[in-house]
Amino acid sequence: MTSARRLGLFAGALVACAAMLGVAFAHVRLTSSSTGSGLKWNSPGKIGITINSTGSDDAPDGSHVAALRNAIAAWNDVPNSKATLVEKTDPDEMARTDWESDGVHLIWFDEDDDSGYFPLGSGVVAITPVWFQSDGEIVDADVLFNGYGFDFTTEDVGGAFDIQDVATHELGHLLGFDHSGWAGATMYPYVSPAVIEHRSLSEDEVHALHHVYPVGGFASITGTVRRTSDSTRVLGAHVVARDANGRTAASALSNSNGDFTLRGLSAGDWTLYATPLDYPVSGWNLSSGQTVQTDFQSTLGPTVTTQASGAVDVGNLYVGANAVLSLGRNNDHFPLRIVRGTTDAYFLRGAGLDSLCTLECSDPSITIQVVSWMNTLVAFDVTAPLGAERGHADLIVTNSLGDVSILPAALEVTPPDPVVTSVSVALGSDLGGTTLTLDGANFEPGARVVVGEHVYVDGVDATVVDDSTITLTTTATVPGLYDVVVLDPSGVEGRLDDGFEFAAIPTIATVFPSAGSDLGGTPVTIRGASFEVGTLVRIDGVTQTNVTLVDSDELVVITEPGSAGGPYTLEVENTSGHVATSVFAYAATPDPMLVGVAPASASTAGGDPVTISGANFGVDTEVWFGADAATGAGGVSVDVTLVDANTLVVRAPAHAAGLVDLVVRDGATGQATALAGAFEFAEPEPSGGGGGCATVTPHGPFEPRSAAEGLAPLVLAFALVRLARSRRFALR
Amino acid sequence: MRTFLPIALVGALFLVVAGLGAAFRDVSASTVEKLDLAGLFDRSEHVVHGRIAKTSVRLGAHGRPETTVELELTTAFWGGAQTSLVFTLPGGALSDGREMVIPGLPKLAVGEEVLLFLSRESKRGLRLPIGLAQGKFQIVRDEHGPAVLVRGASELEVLDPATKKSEKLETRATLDWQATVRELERLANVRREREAREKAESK
Repeated sequence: MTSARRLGLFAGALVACAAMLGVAFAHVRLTSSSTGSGLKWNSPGKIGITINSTGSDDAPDGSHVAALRNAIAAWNDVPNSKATLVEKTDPDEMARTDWESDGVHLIWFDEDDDSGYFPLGSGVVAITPVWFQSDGEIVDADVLFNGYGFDFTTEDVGGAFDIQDVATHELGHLLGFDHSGWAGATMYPYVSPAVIEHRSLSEDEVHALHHVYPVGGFASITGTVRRTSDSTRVLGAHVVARDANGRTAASALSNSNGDFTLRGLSAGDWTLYATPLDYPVSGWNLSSGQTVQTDFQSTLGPTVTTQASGAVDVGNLYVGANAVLSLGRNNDHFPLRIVRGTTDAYFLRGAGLDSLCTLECSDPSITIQVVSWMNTLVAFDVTAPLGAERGHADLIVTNSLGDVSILPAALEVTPPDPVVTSVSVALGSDLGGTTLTLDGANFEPGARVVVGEHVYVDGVDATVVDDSTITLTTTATVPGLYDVVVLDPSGVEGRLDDGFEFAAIPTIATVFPSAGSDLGGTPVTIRGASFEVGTLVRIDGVTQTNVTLVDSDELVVITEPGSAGGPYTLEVENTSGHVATSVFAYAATPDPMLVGVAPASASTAGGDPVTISGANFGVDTEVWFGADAATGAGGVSVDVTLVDANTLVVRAPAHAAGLVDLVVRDGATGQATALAGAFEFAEPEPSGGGGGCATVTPHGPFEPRSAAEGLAPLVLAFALVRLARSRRFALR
Repeated sequence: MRTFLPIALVGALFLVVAGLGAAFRDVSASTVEKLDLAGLFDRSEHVVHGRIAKTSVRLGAHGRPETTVELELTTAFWGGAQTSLVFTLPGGALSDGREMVIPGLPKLAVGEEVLLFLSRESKRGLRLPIGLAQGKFQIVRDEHGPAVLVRGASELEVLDPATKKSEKLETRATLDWQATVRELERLANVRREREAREKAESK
């Protein structure tokens, strides 16, 4: 990739700022201009990241959240790295816009140039100001999107920048990394609308994390880059390692002594080469003021074997003289995506690209067929085999003189785009819990599914069953209609537009009582979920006018009159139009009425006589101790002695100590009434007997009439309770 | 940070200034925005050639460093500056070692001779080189004479027309600074006339 483009006349085509005396690291780190220290977080295990909830005005559906979460995950998912970006999801935190505060590391769309960093026409898509101490410790960093000047998208809107792609790059800066010399790296300095290939990290970024934030030990390779002609050291040479498969694996810049260290390597065989950092990325793209010399040509070095850890010194890596040959310009689109199993056509710009040149890929399984050489441009077809792994490979051009130019990581192999053809269920509750089956194609292990703000991850809360099926169970999500997006680990995606709707769908768990008088006036408690203000209740199509929303889980209806019979359909309809149904019947008989119970307590041992006062009792009347007053569920039924329509006598059952509800129900019609906390079971006292009533009734022969005597004050009291309860029902 | 790439600017420099079609093919197709030299010129509030006389860093309104740059003007191709232009960039290193960096923002060193395409001021009074690194061109002169050079952050490297003996350079387009100056002056006239016309039409 060297060429006549570089000057050689001015300080050896020195693209230089302040010379950096420290070690030049693999990939490129941001550095302190005063000390040369590489920037890093001193507590990288929990770097708080806050996604501003307002997001982009170009994505008002809130889809920026999932896109940014995917960008965060791209860095967090790298194994053996301490760096962890921890999202802060507190709503107050997410409402913050004070990015300049050290206490918040914000991702924020600056729609009005409030930061002052986006003057109109600046051409800046996003920036990440990194604030640090002289020793390189990062104090604060924030990602600011230029919403003032550009459009952003999460769904491939033409002319807009992909939020996830841009964010993944910017988060690399936040972690302390500078631009990369790899054409296909996430930290490649240029971006175009519609580009999404930077969503996934290249090996360059992986090694960057392993170097700066390592967990455990890694191998390294050291050496010195020198010119073959005079053995002088080359500063800022881009040293790259390929793995045994010819894939681009790691890189370094030589320092001001020409020394380089490739760090973060695992055990393996690595083929080294040095190439000038000129096109498409040059020293001008770096922020740290590193000296970058480019007056040499790409030169292959030795193959080095590393163990799991430890350093290997390769000594001198000699590079050849500059040549009139180069491949790639920064107005080419990088990376060149190669879909495995297909042939893709591309062209690249350059110099010295004549018909005597050859073009090859560093991965020999990827074949290249040149279509035409045009000196400043080469057109070619690239074919990746079906089984090709994801990742990057170099392009290598060689001229008739044997001069070489290498374009690192120019190609990125990906699987085909996932295709989402259908979702088994189109609608689910905003409370989550809906099981979805996604049908489609090209689903691969590690896929992520985005529905709303939530990202479902294979192996965590989603399952890639096979290449055409993914299953997941939804989590609670804000109501709305959402695309269903499947993302491959490479970042390519498939999308089913408006594939699933989350809605406040009401559900009915219980209706109690399940029947009421055809004259109406029956208090009915409906338990369920997602009830809201404005929820309608209909019985047999008749809208009930007296409905009280107790909370999102409970409605109370005072029934309208109806025709005896049923069961009829009971409907609960939310404002969104979603309906839940149950049943309710009307009876031609009046509802039972429960006024009092005496005594109001009994022994836990059971057997104490109890008199229940009320109205409309009959031969089918049942009494339940401990049944839930709101649902009628549970409890213990007892034998009932019908004294008259206003009086029942029972024996309390054995029951654990405590207050319980009392339910009286007509077993034939389902009509019922209840009193909450109406009866208490107490441990028997040594003197024996129950209590709580004016009359203590000893165990023994049961005399219902006498038990009912003397209850007038209690009847009055219970009537007042009942009245109060009825008034609550009436409130709306 | 990533930027729109005013590659076409560089291409335009080659094409317009050097008139080399081959070079234009290298750079004519803008990756993102069709920013040719005219487009870049039109975006700028100041197009200035000069030498960096002074820089100073202070904490700005955000509590973050800002660098104030004093440019000793040789030529103002656009904008009202006379003999000097003072502007403020975000970022910089404080004397106590604390520093803020914006990846991609070019550094302006005292003594550097530069051609700058500067944005208007932001709401907080800051300017940026258009396209960050792409908006700064360094002019390098060597002992052989006035020579040249303009370096773009991207396609253009440091080139010296005074030493064309190099075989490599013979295959390359070389920029002529004076030709570049003439083109910038022409663009200024075009912009001036257009703005006058627009102003007249708006009345």
